[in-house]
Amino acid sequence: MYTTFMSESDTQYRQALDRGHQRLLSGPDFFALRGRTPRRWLVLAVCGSLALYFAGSPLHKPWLTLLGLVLFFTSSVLVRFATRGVADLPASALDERQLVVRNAVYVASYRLAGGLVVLVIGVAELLPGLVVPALLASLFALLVTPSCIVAWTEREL
Amino acid sequence: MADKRPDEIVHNRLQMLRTERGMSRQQLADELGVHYQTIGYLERGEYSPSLYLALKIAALFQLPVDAIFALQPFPTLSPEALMSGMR
Repeated sequence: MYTTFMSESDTQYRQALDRGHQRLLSGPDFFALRGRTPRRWLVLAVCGSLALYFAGSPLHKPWLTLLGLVLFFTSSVLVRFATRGVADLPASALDERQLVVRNAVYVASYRLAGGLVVLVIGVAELLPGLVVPALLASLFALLVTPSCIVAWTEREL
Repeated sequence: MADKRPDEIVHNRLQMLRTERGMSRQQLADELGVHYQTIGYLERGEYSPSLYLALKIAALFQLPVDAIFALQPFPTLSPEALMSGMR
């Protein structure tokens, strides 16, 4: 037998789960996407959709931009479900290991954001006409970067 | 993410204690207020718990912390080891 041992922080964790996070963190939804291989395919889909979005401007094909946007939002939502929202849920909903993962992911995202800023500055210097799409694509990328890093790196979700 | 240094491995008897008490990972996770996958990470030694969580685990199993967690691997329960312990 074992004794029950609950503290105030446990209660907060439970309440957070009850507020709809339980389904995302522990529910069976999108179980098929939670394996490492499908998660990595989703990350590649996010990258591909951003490339389509960005390519629409220089090629003067608005439908390509629109297709890129639709694919981006679809794949980014799926990435979040596939990663159980570990990168996006509030800290009160996560346990200590998930917080460690999230903090490490945020550090990596911060570094990537720095790289994207350098990239956008480079585009502005070399191809002034593509600054706006490059900037928007970078902003879209940053929205989903933490979830993508979780999806790519975590062994088990 | 958050790779730990190879010399910072904390060995534990969590899986043995859990199965001994007939608890599932989900039950143990619910008692400790963590996600059930965190129990798997703890049992495999892929995640070292905070002092707070280690103390909660010790209190739950009503054992001292060092009976559950150790810096050195726990001795295996081979027949030879059991026999030498009985002598």
